[in-house]
Amino acid sequence: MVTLLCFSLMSAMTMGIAVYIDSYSVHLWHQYTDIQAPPLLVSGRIVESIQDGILSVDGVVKGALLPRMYCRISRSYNDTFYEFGMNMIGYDSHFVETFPDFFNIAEGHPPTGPREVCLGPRMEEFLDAGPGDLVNLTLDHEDEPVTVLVVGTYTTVYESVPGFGPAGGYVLMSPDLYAGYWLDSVMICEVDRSPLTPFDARGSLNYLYNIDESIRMLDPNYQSRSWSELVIDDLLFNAVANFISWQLNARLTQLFRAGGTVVLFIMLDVLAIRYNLSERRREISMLLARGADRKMIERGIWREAILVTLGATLVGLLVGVLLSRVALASTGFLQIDPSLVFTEYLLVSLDSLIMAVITGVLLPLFSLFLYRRYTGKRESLRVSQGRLAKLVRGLEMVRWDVLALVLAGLLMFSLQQMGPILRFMPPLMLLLSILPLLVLAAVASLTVKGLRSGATALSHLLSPVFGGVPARVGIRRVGLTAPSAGAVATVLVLTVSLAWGASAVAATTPVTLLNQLRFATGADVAMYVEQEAIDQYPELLANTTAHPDVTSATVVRRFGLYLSTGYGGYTPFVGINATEFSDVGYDFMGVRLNESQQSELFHRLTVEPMGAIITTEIASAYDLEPGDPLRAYTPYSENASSIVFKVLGVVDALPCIPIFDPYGMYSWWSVAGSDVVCVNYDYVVSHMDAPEDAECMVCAAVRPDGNETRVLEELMDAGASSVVQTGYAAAPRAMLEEYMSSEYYHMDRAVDTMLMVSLAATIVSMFIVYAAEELPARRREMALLRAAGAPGSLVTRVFVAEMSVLLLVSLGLLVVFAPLFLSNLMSTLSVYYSPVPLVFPVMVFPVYPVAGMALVLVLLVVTALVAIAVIALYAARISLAEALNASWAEAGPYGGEL
Amino acid sequence: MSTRPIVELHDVCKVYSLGEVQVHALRGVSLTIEPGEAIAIMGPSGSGKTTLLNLIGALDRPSSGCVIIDGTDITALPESELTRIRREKISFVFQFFNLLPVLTAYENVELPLLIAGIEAAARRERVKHLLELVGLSDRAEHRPDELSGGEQQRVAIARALAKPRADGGSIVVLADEPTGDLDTHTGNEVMEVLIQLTREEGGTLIVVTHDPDVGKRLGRVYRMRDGMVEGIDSG
Repeated sequence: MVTLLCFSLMSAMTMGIAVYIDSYSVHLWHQYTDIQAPPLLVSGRIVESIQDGILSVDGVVKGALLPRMYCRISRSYNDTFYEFGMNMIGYDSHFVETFPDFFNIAEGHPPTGPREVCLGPRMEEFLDAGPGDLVNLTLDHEDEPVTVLVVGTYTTVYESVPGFGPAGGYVLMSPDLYAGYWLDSVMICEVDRSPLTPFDARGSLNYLYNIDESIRMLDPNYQSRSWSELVIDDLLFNAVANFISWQLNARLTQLFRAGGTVVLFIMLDVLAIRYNLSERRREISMLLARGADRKMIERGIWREAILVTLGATLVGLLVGVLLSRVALASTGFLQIDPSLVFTEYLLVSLDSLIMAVITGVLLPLFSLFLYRRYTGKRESLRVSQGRLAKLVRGLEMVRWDVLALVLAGLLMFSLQQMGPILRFMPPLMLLLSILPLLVLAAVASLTVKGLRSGATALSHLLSPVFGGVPARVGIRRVGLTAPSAGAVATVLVLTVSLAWGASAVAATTPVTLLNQLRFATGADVAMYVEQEAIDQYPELLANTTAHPDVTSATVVRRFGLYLSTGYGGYTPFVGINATEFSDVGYDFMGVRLNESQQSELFHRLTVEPMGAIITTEIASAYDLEPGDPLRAYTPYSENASSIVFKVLGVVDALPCIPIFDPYGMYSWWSVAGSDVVCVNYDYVVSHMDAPEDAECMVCAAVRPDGNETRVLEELMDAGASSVVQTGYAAAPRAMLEEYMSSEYYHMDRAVDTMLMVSLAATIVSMFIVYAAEELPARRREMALLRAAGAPGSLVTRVFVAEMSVLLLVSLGLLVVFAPLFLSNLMSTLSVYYSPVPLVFPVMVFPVYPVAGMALVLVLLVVTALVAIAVIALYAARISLAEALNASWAEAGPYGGEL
Repeated sequence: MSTRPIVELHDVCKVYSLGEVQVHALRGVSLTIEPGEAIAIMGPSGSGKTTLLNLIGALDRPSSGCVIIDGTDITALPESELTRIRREKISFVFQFFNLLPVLTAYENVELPLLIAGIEAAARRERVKHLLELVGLSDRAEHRPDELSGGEQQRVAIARALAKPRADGGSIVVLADEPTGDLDTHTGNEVMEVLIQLTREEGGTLIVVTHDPDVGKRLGRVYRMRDGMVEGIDSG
């Protein structure tokens, strides 16, 4: 039972994750497959001749040919001749009848009269032409153009399909223009979408593939050539394929995130295997005594392990489905809405089953393999004289565990001190992520040794607390006879650390992202505008400041100057009104500037107009210190080309609002806020021409109880939208809310909640393994004490002492290991918000939720108490005669480790 | 010392149920043992010797009949009372020693006194005395895995004799095949120690054995077969 329980955990976790992803993905199905446009496009030389065949394909509901031909369109304006060559599409009456919603005429009317065209948005822009204008059209490969009238502008339904163009045409022609010409038409079709279902995504994909394949088969040369000249764009097929791909990626991503738990399960499986084999020692001894050879016994062990693994995997699959309900009912980390357990979808796909079976079978067998290799190798190394054996003996002599602990600890400390630079070195990041395992292995070894050598002293020390008999029998059992006490303590420590890690990540992520977004945005609300817009719309700043929820607003300008002669040393400058920006801006710690460690510097900037605050990179590159002059040049100023600042201070990073990056200046290869100089903008323009390349950001601070999202919306509605382009307004809280409502964040927290349940089950399993181990010996010990006249309460106190010491050792280890583990986790944690792909000076702002972490400890203690109660009940029901009269094989001449 | 029998069994039966099969381990056994006696119970495997010992030692309850230890009918006593009887009146010496592996020889001998709540000074004196009697004073700090079989059994004997005996009454030492796991020479030594010390400490010794030589050294031998006392021989 114990082995079955432990072996089932991996398949339960994999199944839980996979079924959760599958079930949750049902909500996302429509995001992928809700394609309003006709999804099937067939083009090729022969498409006109097979259009009836296409329409008769099973699954094709309707279709029509969209005329298409190569043309060139041109116009002269502003003394420049513009010409573009491309496919243009025709306003065919049959097509329009079949798909009446295909064309959307935004302005004017469709091109139905002679020599009429409608332009798409890009052509409208490129030719600077609209309804009423004349353009020249050169049809197919004619030499002479014809003049045509633009009667409207249009879009097609394909504009609503992300990443898909307007079916190859930017100009819509009236039928007379293409009559008589050879057409390279495209057949656009609608398919029967009723068979498509998220509950059978692969079946849906097959259905769509069959439609496509049936169309390809209409090519008479397809089978002989094995390729078709028909080109099929199946938007639904692509959508369903992307959906399936998303599911697979999501499953793998979540499994990868659960890597620490996998290590835990390996340790647990090894313990279970050890428990199982130690229970079979007598049986194995008897088989050996009767002539069985070790290979036969080994085969038997493997056969049994495979059978137990298969049984455990089945159990794990069922448990995994139940676990997935926990994740589906999760509305946040450790936040459950019980009603969702029953109302959420349940989807168990074949992919999930296969994944769970593979991991559920592989992991326990891998653990058995590790265990047998280790025990076999250890035994052979003891007697061997080879180099490896000498190395192992040498390591044992120099206390490899102490060496490993010290080295790993030093390495971890050194790597963590590297800060954000580490993010640019993936091999070191990988090393940092696995170092805790080395620490854990070393700690486990030291724990076992410590327990062994310290158990007697500890029992004497704690005798006054627990009593003489409980202290001696119970406490020494932990160190001297319980073979897995050290391993159990280690597994408990890792389990609690993982649980704490999940809690910390859930609490850290929103805080980190908010602080980083504040630094990236530079304010609570920010809008990027062209300098001309500021000039044309001076009310922008005034309106912003006047908003009832805005406490302060300012304009920040970014521009470039050179810090050395020639064209080297181009450096971003941030020009501010220091007084205003101190009340609005944030430093790289996410603290308002007027409350931050940089407040003094920014205050000095207000009273010293020629002051400059620089970052450490600039200080070291140009050997600058506070008080030094800083010369900057520009080759573009007519008035003066140089300006001198006075360095007021050097900081790690400065707010430069990198969230707005139209020119690709800020990216993943540099740390945001580095290599920046902050100066008074008024001082700059008083000494040189206003920089031509200046970018302007209107930044505002919002009241603490204000709603930044609403403030931004109201500002845009009040007129800012006329000067602020889409995508160039930001509010950190709005972005944070978007991130936290995203499917990826939701899934991470839901899976972490589910893993917490698994970790709780692991704690319970560990106590079961520990209590069940050496059960005959434990039973005899209890019977012996009772036979000697010990009352039941004394026997219980023995177990209380034992469990208390085990808990104390675990807690002691936790105090040592958990901080290392958590600090390492925080160093490697990546809070990634794709719209803001930056590397920040501070990558993580760790938050350790005391309540959540305390809850895990309470679980640990409660489980130990329950174990004590169960053992106490068990002890009271032991048959003394049976327990004492059974032969004590372990104490007999043939006992001991096999 | 009390003049009443230390152990009395009256028509004691013990039936075990193994599924649907009823096993009559004891069929109406009656015997009386006086304080200070050393008796052997002998018989082939399955004759009921160990079952009889378990009932006398309050490790099990009879299916019928009554068991009286030093004037107290223990047949229907509650567990707490049985615990007291075991603590004050009964000791065991097992074939495979049954020493606690985490305790030293000293601590194993001390165990019954600790359970009984005897104060430290008195415990120390008693344990030292017993270890001297069994000749293991210099091995007191060794754990069982550091002792030979004979030494372990001597520790077990010392432990069996470490009883509080508040009323000065006799203790009953029950030994189940005490020499079964020892070679002949060591076994003889151990039996010598067991018999001598039990007598010196005023205890009553009941030994279950296969070994006729052991039986010869004891006062009376109860021969058992098929759950019944077949005969009583003088040792």
